Amino acid sequence: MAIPFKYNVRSLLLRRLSTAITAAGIALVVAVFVIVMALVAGFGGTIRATGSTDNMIVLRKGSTTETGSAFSLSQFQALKFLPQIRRDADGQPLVSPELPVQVLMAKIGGGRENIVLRGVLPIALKVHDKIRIVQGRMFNPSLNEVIVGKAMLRRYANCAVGSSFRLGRGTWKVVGIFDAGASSFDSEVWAGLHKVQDDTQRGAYYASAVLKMRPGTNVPALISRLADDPRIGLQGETEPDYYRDQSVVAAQLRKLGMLVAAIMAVGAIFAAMNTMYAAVAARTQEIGTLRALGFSPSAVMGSFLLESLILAIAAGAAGIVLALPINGLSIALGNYITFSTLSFQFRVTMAIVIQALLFAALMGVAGGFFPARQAMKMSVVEALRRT
Amino acid sequence: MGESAAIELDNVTRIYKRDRFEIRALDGVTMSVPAGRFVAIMGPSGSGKTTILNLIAGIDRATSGHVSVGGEVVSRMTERELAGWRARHIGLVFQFYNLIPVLTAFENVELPLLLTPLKKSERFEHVEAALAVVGLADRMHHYPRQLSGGQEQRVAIARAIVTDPTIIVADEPTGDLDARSAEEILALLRDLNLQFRKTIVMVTHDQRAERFVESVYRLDKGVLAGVEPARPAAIDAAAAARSRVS
Ligand SMILES: Nc1ncnc2c1ncn2[C@@H]1O[C@H](COP(=O)(O)OP(=O)(O)OP(=O)(O)O)[C@@H](O)[C@H]1O
Ligand SMILES: [Mg+2]
Repeated sequence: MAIPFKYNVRSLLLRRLSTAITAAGIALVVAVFVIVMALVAGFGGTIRATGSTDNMIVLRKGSTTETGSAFSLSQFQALKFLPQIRRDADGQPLVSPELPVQVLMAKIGGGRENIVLRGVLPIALKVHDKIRIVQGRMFNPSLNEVIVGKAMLRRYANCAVGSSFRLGRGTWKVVGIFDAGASSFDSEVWAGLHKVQDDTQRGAYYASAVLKMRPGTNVPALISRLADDPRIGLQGETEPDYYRDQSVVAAQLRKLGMLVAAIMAVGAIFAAMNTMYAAVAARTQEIGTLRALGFSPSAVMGSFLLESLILAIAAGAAGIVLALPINGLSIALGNYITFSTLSFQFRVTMAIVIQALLFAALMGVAGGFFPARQAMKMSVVEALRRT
Repeated sequence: MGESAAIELDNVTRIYKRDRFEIRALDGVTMSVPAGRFVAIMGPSGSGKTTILNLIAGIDRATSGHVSVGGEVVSRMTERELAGWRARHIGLVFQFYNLIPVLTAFENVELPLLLTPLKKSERFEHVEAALAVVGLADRMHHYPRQLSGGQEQRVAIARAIVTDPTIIVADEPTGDLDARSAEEILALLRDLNLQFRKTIVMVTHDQRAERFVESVYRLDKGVLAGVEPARPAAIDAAAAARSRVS
């Protein structure tokens, strides 16, 4: 049988100060880890939720974002009746011309921030089939009416149904709230396409068109058709591909977070190692006694390793608790690609909690291994001579 | 009392190597302790007393010569075998008690039983019995720091006897105690020897010990200088105690 568990727990409690300091270090690292992972989970989730696999976004050739794209009505007319585009019950092609523009919007509590005002036609709700109006109604495209993404409500002023706000040159009345399933559309304001064109005073043009493909469409063929047809000459990309470029940001954020956590972890491991070496040194005589009573070297090693593990996991749990209040907290990040503000929430998932505990355990084992091995290798006679 | 030897050392030498120095802690020691005896090893500091005890207890190994205890040749066992053998046959008592400070008296005494296949309820009975023998059944939930030195040493003795070993080795068990506690510990060891027929080898500087033991082995500079039979007073006391017991 092994050396009892309570021996380790009580020994840790006996060395209250050094245990607490080491635990604080590990807890801090784990808290940072959880916060970064929750941010990545929230941000990545928002990016991933944007777009449908059967949607294609069409931009001017060479554009990587909607913001840098523009094309004419005639180009749009030429692509509108392509056979690959699905139709609705009335025979209308499911293609949504869009004009997203950057505008400054007043925040709750003062200040203004860039957001996306997207001019669309009512057909947009059929193309973006994940989007639902959850309150109020769709705007009337011939009035200065808007619908607002639900993530906006937490951050910007006058977004409730019935209120009005100034945006661009005009004043807009909020008539509905939409839920885009935690995608980046949730951080946008949508209005009638022609009203937005009027507001920008740059004439009749579109920035992008989103079309819904018929099932079984040959995607590369459609992309070449869009590019090669002299009347169209535009660039198509499936929505998942398009938004994947944006999720690169999430991946980079994640890498950066992991790097910071790893560097901090090295520090925490050394702290744990230091604590455990001190514990082994202070308890040399106890180690000698246990061995003399007949406990095996591996039981001694296991005991000290366990002690380090208990310390690290308890500290890890504390770190998670410390980081937990950020769960659900909303945050706005500048989206580096569209240069508008993307609102999303930190998401502390069960997977993150488990990863954090494993991370803590890893630090415990890494910090405890060498001290525990030293305890194991001690000669019994030498250990007992130490008084 | 049977005179078969419980412990036999045959031409035992123990050399410690420190850097380039060699320390001959024991130099060709031959001695035997009959089963059921309570004996003392005495001698000046550095004469090799602890070294002998460690060899008998199987904590240390002889550089040359043979050590057999209870009929088994300890000096031939592997490290692993020794650990198991120690747990079954040897009770250890140290000068500074060596109790685990974060464990209660009960838990300290229970430690050696964790190496046996005994069930929890059986362990409880054994621990309780051992603590009763040393007169501390009412202190089992106390931590070492809540006990006096004499009481701590009693707990250590309970730990040494809880597995019912045949041999108890004690290294200066009264070295850290006041006069009264020392006498109590010596009397307790003598009772264990008389009542439970334990063979006890005790290293001591304590002159009082001569009144309790049956023979004294004198060591000097790693050599056995002689074995003295116990003083008549001790023999009388032992006889008196024995008749009280039986
Ligand atoms: N592990 C060791 N390494 C080096 N030298 C040792 C070791 N153990 C004992 N010695 C040396 O061997 C000799 C005998 O030591 P031992 O501890 O057996 O003496 P002792 O009779 O118990 O002395 P004391 O009364 O001071 O406890 C001493 O010179 C001691 O320094
Ligand atoms: Mg000694």
